[in-house]
Amino acid sequence: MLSSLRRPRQRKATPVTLQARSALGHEFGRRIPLGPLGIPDVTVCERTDFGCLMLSSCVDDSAVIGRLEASVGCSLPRASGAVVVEGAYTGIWLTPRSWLLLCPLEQEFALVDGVGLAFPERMAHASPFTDFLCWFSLGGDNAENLLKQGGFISLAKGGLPVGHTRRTRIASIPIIVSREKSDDWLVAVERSRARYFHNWMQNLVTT
Amino acid sequence: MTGFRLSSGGHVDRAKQIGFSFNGRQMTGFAGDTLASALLANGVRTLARSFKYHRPRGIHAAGVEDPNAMLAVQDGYGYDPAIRAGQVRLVEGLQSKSVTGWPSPDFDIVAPFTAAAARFMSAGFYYKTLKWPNWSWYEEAIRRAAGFGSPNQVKQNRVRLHRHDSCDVLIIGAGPAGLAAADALSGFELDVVLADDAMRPGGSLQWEKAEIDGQPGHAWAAAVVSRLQAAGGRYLPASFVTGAYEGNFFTLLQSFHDDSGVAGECLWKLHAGRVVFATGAVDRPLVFQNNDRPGVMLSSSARRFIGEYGVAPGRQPLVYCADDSGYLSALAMTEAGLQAPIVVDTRAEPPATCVKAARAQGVSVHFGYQIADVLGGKYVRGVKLAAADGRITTLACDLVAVAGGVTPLVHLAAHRGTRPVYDAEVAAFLCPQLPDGWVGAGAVTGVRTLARALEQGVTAAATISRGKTAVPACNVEISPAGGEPLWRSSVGKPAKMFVDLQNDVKVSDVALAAQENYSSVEHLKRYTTLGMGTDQGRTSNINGLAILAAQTGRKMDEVGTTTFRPPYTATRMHAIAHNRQQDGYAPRRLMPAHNDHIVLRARFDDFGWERPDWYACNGPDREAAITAEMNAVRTAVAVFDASPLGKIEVSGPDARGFLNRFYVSNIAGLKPGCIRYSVMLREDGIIFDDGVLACIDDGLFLAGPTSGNAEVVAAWLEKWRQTEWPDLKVAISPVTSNWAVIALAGPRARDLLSRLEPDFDISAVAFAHMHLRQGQVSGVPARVARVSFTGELQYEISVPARYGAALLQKALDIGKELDALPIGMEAWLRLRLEKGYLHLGSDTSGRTTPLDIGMGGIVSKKALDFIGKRSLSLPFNRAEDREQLVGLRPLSGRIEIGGRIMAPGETSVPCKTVGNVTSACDSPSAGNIAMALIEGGAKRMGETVRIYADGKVTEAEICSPVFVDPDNERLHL
Repeated sequence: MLSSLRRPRQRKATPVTLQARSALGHEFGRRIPLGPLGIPDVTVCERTDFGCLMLSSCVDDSAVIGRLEASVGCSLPRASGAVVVEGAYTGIWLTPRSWLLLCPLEQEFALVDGVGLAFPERMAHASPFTDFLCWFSLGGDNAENLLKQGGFISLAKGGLPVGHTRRTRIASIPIIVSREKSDDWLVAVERSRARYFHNWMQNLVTT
Repeated sequence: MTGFRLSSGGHVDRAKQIGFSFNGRQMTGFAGDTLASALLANGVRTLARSFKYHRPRGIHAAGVEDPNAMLAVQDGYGYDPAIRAGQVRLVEGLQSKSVTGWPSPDFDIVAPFTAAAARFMSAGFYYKTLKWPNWSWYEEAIRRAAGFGSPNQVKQNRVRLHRHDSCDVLIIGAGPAGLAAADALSGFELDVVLADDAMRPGGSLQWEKAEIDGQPGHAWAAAVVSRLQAAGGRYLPASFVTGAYEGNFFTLLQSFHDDSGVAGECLWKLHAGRVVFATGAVDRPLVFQNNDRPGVMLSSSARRFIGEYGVAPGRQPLVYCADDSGYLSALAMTEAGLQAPIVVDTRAEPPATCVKAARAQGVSVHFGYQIADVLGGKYVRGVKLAAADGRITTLACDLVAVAGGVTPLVHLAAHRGTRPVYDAEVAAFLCPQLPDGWVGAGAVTGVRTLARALEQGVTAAATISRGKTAVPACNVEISPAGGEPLWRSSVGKPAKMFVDLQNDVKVSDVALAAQENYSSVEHLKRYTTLGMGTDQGRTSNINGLAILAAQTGRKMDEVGTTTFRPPYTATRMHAIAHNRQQDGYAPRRLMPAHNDHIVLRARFDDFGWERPDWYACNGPDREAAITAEMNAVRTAVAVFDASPLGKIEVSGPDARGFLNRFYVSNIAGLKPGCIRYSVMLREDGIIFDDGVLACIDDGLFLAGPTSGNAEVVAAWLEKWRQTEWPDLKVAISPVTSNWAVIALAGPRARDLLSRLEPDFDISAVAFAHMHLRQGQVSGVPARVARVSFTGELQYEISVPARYGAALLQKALDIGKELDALPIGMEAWLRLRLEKGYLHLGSDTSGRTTPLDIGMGGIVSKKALDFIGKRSLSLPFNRAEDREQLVGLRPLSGRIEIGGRIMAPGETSVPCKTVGNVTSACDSPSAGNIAMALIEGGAKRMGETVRIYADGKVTEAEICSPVFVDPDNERLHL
């Protein structure tokens, strides 16, 4: 992205003079615990300690997708809702031809450039996506019940399996829900709705 | 009827007395009572007045099927303006009040008038008086006299929950059949949910005398639930299944109770793999003269009050039945120690076992009689019986327990579109064909005996589990086998026989409806209001349509039933709303720099996103601030948060050709680094989005739809890609929220941009208007577009959203030297109006095509096809008298938005109009200006038109919509 409109020549590195902030206004690049919720036995953190790309392929072709995997250094899941974790990278299936790739924060733009170089004809494409979504980690015995107040996570027996992801609607907004462990969940909402979603979680109660 | 507390019996806790009030009178009951049982125990007979005629009403049934006992109730958590007494669990301090009858239900001032006027107030009288004489003469009086309940300012403190869940098997109803199914499913590793509206499991086992597997029925019920829970199943008491939906989704309303009242409610949305439909049945009343008197009660409810609550509904009971179940009531009454009841059976030859059992207990039984009339004004004092030969006998009583048969509660199946079918053997409507995955069991299928209900429950479970379980053994006094339906008494005045007690619908009303040709059951319902009350016709519908069938010479099945719709029972709106109130009502979308806008004293408005309309830091009031903001753009520089602007990356070898099929402008020649403005059309040629398209390289484009359309356009592109052009090698990546966009607009915009340290050349030559550059700004990745919405030199700087707030702040801080101001939406939109730029939705209507806004030349030059092109060639879209976008300058007065353009020659209203003012403002640069859509406007330049708005007529001249810098010199600075 940095180079596609400019002929390659050495650019002077400009120091970063802008402060980065998370969707909820916190310091960027960290895992920030958020205050207690109305529901007990749930912890929530805002996550900006990893980066994210949206990867897309123009075709459902294993050769193209294979090259895409090679360019980002991570396998990409092929089954609906599947998640692949390889080292510092996590691939999340979105559609048969698109994925989210979670990566170290500092690698976001380099990876985008790398995909651009690997696919000059743009048969596959990477978009910076770290800022599109606001990520929350939810943990605790009541984390699943919290989410279930807002919508269906999964209709599968036993609920969403560990290591799987679902796109659904919770609290009337689209959300990505990923079950990392039995009681550990990673959820993402579109950035402009982050404050609304956090308020929604805070206002929940239980009997 | 004078109810009283029995000295023993029932499942109430007699050690725990509860104090409550009714109409200001202090009373007591026991823990475990409902408000209805406690009122009966305190001898309350009349607790309401009927809707239309203000006739006295008492407790008619024990549960949700009661059409009468609607009371206003306040507990420790909130207030309900009208709720059935049988649904209210008695708690300490409960306050209850009648909602009909003034000053009291015992003595109602309106009653004598409505009694006198009753003959004029038959079914449909209001519809007729809408024509003559004049409804409005008495509308106010009727509104005041009618209605149930009044609102109250009492704050609700109930906890509200929602839950979205799934299970393998949902068992609806914890009566004998449902419990048998639950027990039989244990051990099969199925996720079972058992839901019932009662506080305790067992259904009728709570009050009927029965033994199951050697235990009293209610004890067996409790044991089954324990086993279910031990096996991991879920039991939901106090939970109504309120709706059944496609795909076996259900809504359930679960209530949580404590000693202060209804502490909370949880609305479930539950998906079930399989369903055991065991909702049971309710008694069907008999219809006879003055059957609405307090003291006439459903027979099964009389048993329930005795068996479950230890309350006798009367001292001198009489059972009036056309069904075997009436004898159960007679036996229950004698066993409770009441005066031996009289049984009046309409059948000439009822089953001998029933008669024998009753007489053994000292009950006298009369065969082949009908009740000709009920004696007593405010409550039952006796009945007149008519023999088959016409002889009339008078009997004293204070309670008439009626058993006309049963009505299976098939509502939930009907929610799914299953059509109830009349079964003559059972004399009821059943649903023999249930939705996929459902199995019926118990009284809802028409079975009448406990043994059959248990057997069906076990069979239902076996169908699901494919296992085999023994049927529990049961022992009952008598097994009601059925009856002979008597839909209405053949003796007495139809105008005094009530079919629907809640809405005062009589047999004569049904006859009138038939006579006036409202012979469809749906018309009957709406014309007479039969079944339209809050009881939803549970005790009235079947009698009503049977009477209609007789009136019109049809069979029951030919008449059919009305449509059952969710919810099955009334649901508090706040349970449905949950947190969707105030700020939680709809998600507010916030920009990355939202908090900084607050610090700048922005006055926000909802533009789909929360956006500053104007800034209080720029002036003492709105107009002053907007003027300052506009002047900043025209003379210095302003900083605008444009983050919600749509951003969609379209990539792939076929991206250019793909996009060219959407945009009116020719994209084929758009070079890398260049930007083009265009519009997108629907297939009918109507504009549905406008925006800029940037070419990043030959395989990557950035589409910029309007803020409000960002997601719609992305979906539109994706839809066409998938359904029409799946072979095109293209990918669509919506990225709107990833980027914050800060726009700098004004002659000093370049100066300000340079101070933000871009790492590329921004000189006028190197970075011309309608171009895009990528690089870094202030050390962070950025895309900078030189485009203009204002007609001034303008740059839109996109940075990752995490830097949006900081960039805005830095631009304003650094820009102070350049007299930079933040600018809000109103000023931004007025500036584009000065320049004659389109605002989608304001200057376009649902009929506007690109030909109407002056893009005819662009359209004609594009040889390649695009969506909507063919429609533009149709004569309708090429007509010269279409509404076309033009500018307006006032000649007299002031032009307002929304003003209607009067047809040529018209001078006063009403008149024909030929267009409307789409945008208007007072511009610091150009005065009062406007744009309008006017028929044939393009050919009417210089004409004077009259505009009507707000009671005034002004004159204006049609002109070019470009009021500022018509040669675009400022754009190319």
